[in-house]
Formats: sequence, structure tokens, C-alpha cells
Amino acid sequence: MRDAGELNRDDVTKQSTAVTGSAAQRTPELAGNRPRRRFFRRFRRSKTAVVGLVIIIVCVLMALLAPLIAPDNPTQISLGESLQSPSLTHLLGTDELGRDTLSRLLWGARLTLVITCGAVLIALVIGAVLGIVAGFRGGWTDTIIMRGIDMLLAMPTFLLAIAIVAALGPGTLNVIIAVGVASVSAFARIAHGAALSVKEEDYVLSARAIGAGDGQIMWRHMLPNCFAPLLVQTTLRLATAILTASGLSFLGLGPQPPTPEWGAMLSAGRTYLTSNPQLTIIPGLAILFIAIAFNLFGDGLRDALDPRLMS
Amino acid sequence: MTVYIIKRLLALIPVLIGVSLIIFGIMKLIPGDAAEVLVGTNGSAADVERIRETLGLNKPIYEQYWLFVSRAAVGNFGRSTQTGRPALTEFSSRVKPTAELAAAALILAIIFGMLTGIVSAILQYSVWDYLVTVVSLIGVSAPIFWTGLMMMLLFSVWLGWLPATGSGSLSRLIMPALALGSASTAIIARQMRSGLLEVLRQDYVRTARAKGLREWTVIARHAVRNALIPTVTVVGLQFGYLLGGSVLTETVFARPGVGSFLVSSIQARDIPVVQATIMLLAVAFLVVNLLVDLLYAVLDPRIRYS
Repeated sequence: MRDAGELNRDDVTKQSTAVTGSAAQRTPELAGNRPRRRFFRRFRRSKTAVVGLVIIIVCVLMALLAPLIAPDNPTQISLGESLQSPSLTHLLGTDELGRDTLSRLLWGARLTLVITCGAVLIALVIGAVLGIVAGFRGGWTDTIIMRGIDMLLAMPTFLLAIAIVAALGPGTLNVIIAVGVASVSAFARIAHGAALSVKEEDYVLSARAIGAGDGQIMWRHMLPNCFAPLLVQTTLRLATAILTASGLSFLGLGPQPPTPEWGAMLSAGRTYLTSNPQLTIIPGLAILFIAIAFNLFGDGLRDALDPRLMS
Repeated sequence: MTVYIIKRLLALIPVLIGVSLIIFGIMKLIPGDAAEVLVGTNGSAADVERIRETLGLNKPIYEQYWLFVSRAAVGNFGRSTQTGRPALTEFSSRVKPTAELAAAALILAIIFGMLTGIVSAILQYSVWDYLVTVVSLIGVSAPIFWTGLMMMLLFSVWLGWLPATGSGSLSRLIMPALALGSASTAIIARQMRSGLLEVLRQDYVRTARAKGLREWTVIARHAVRNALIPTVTVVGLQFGYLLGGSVLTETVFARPGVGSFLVSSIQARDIPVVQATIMLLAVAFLVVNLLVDLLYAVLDPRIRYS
């Protein structure tokens, strides 16, 4: 209860400053800035969302700096040092081939993040294009695209991803494609809903009145206004995508050995679950943390961007 | 109601056609074709040609699709390239452990998810509510295969309470069902909590309290029942997640079900079995969602189907 009280008081003071401020700053630039400032203020207020963002930044830095900070070569086999427990020379121990787990974890962050972000990017681009075109054109185009999306939705996501990767064959790129295509339907539906709601807005009508072409209306005027729900979906989907992708690579359908990737590391480590549980625990914790971070960040973004939740 | 059920069953037909098109299309992406896989490396070009002829692989693509669909409609998905038995037989001989697993996970998720969600909503902002929020965040973020392995480590390796692998007994079902159901439990709990908080703000709840009903009656009769409606939708969707997740869970716990067989069939490039399994699991998902929609009518008398 205490938290809620504090938040309410916060709101009241902020509203009053906003009211007194608006009289003084009636210049258009500042008015244009206000939604963005309000977004950052609301986002910062959510401590959990900030924590999520910090974990994401740390992971991205780990991935980017892997060549500099990794103590060892992640694919360097030294059988004499296999299956060691954590020690000063190998902070997180070594795997069955004597490779340094910490180095593999750091390099694995690269591949894991590339797969996750790549898959979500594919889904976002295809989904947004399909959804906006369907919403804008309406009629038959809308019916055909959205019924197609409904068919995709009728398949459970993970099964669809397995089917695609079964056909394309195992491998990093194929996992990206499989997870990406399996996630298209969620983005298409959100883009479609957003497109329908902005289609009749004054700025779209006025763009048309001054003679803007269909392409220009869709991509210059409608897309930016469908941006908020798509952004929220993107961050939340990153969490699902990392679980789906690491699941596929756990099944041996992802990046092939000796490539370091978290799901594959976990899969290899489970053979030694009894003797060396850290080989299973560590990559799993890594996946768990980044998935938690994406979820927290996504929830925070949604709350900050959704005006209906202002209270 | 009967009319509504018939309508919904008819509406399934285009969806099934769509799903079959998707699966057929995906399987057509496979480099080479089933004939080459069947013949293996030792066969001659003539053998490949002969098998193509029997499977109809040298016909135009729409005829191949028609062949696939018309055979699938009567349960003929071709023969497994691993065992030579019909793919449908392979599927049905393994369906029991998977059905048990998915059902147990769903039941656990519904019971725990709803109970924790209801208690968190009633005790909003309490320690319990906070705990449920944290645990459900972990539940939706943890990879199921990892949760399963951690349970195995704790309960089988360290404590020695439960057998780690296999199927057929309740003690072998508990861990897989908990691991598979954990994310769904969390999602159902979140939905129940937010749904109930929404309902508790409604006028009819205030009216129920104002007319002097006991708090328990207000919650159980007026609030929970209304909050159930959005939760039931979530439960239906979770079933699809459970079917997909069973592939991972069965692999972790070496359960001889449909999911683990799907993985070994993919590795063996056993296309008929892969097609049959994915198609039939998708059908199961569609049927469960149809049942969920029908359950609405029972839960919400305001919905009148005609």
C-alpha cells in the first residue's frame, strides 16, 4: 500500500507542475517534447524496468566485448583440463573437452543475442508490413492476409518453429528464420489493430488530401504511429524468442558444435548433470536472467507507453 | 447451442486446410525429397524414380497437396522411414505418455495458477502478492528444459525422492508435469490476478457487498466467476504451449511420448512421421480451443449462441 500512496502523490505533484508549466512554455517544440519526457519519467519510475534495461545492457556489453574480456579461447580443447570445478584459473570451471566455461558463456552471449534479435527483427519487419498493408488496404487484401495469419496462429509457436527447422535443417541461420517466421503472426495482428485505429486519423486524411501516395501514407504517417505497441511487443517477444531458440538448440537443431551457444551448452552439459551440475546450471541461469530482463523491460515500456494505464 | 457447435465445427474446416497447407508447404522446403531419403545412399536412380512414382512426387505440386490432404483426412500419412509402420500407428502408440503429461501439466497449472492468482488479488500488495509476482516472473522466463533438469538434479540426484526418467507411474509424472506446467501456472496466475482486480472494482461487486453478503460469497460467486472468463481463454492458448513444450520435457525426462519421437524423427529425416505428428498436434490444439469456446457458454450466461 505504501508504494501506491507514494506513486499517487508523485502523480499529483507532477500533474500540478505540468499544469503550471504549460502556461509558460507554450512554444510548439516543447509541446512536442512532452510525450517523450512523460515517457522517460514514467519509465524511470518503474525500478524493475530499469533493472531489466541494465541487465540487457550488461549482456550486450558482455557479448560485444567477448573477444577482449574472455580469459580463454571458447573452442580451445585441452583434454587434460576437462570437467574441472570452478577455480582461480577457470572461474566457472571447464566442460567435457576442457574448454573454459566462462569464455564459452561470454562468446555464447553473442550468438544467443544475435539469434534472438535476428528472429524478432524478421518477425517485426514481416509482421508490421503485413499488418499495416492489410489494415490500410482493407477489403480482400485484408481478408486474405489476416486469414493467413489466423492459420499461422492455429499452430502452436514452438511446433511451427520445429517444423520449419526440421525442413530447413539444423543451424544458426535456420533457427533465426524458424523462430522469426513462427513469431510473425503476433506482430501482424498488433500492427493490423494499430493500423485500423490510426487509418481514419486527421493526419492520415490530410496527408491524403495533399496528395500523398499510398506507400508514403503507410510508411511515413501510419508506421510511426503504430510504433508504440510494436515496440512493446518486440521487447516481450525477445523473451519468448530466446526461450524458443534455446529450446531448439537444446534439441540439437540449432548452432552445431563447437560453436558456443547457451542452449547447446546446456544440452551438452546435461550428460554430466550428476558429476558437474554447474555445466547445466550456469547456461540455464544466463538464459533465465536475460529472459527476465526482457520481460521486465517490456512490461515497463508497456506501462510507460500506454496512456490508459495512467493512474 | 447445437447450431453454434455445428457452425464452429464447419469453421474448423478452412483452418484445417490452412494448417495442412502450411505443413505441406514447410515439408516441401526440404532439400531433395522423401524418395531420396527412403532409398538412402545405396539405392540407384531407378529406385528413387520408382519410389517417387508410388509417392506421387513427380506429379504437379497441387496434385501432391491433394494427395497429401485426401490421404491425411482418412488418417493415412504414409509409412515411417525408420520402422516401415504407418506414421499414424507410430503416433498413436506414443500418444498416451504425452496426453498424460499435457493433461497433468494443464491441471496443475489451472489449480495452482487460479488459486495463487485469486489469493494475490485479494491480498493485493501483501508479501504474498509480491512473492507470487516474483515467482511468476521466473516461471515465464525460465526455459522449461532447464527447470526440468534442475528438478531432476534436486529431487532425483541429490534427494533421491523421485525417479529421473521414464513414464508409466505417478512418481514419473510429477516432475515433468511441474516443469512443463510452470510457465502456464505463472501466466494463469497473472491473468487471474489482474482479471480479479478488475472485477473487484465493478459496481456489481460493490452492490453485492452493500447488500450485506459475506466477503467469501462476494468473491466466490460474483467476482471469481466473472474473472474466469478471460482466464479460460488463456488456459486454451496455454494448451498449445504445453504441446510444444512437451517435446522439450519428454526429451529431458526421456519419456517415450510423441514429442521425443518427433525429435528423433527429425534427426532421422523421417518426413511422414514429422508431418503426421505436427499435423495431429495442431488438430488437438484446435479441438481444445473449440472446447474452451464452448465452455464460455457454461461460464457466462450473457453469451447466447445462435
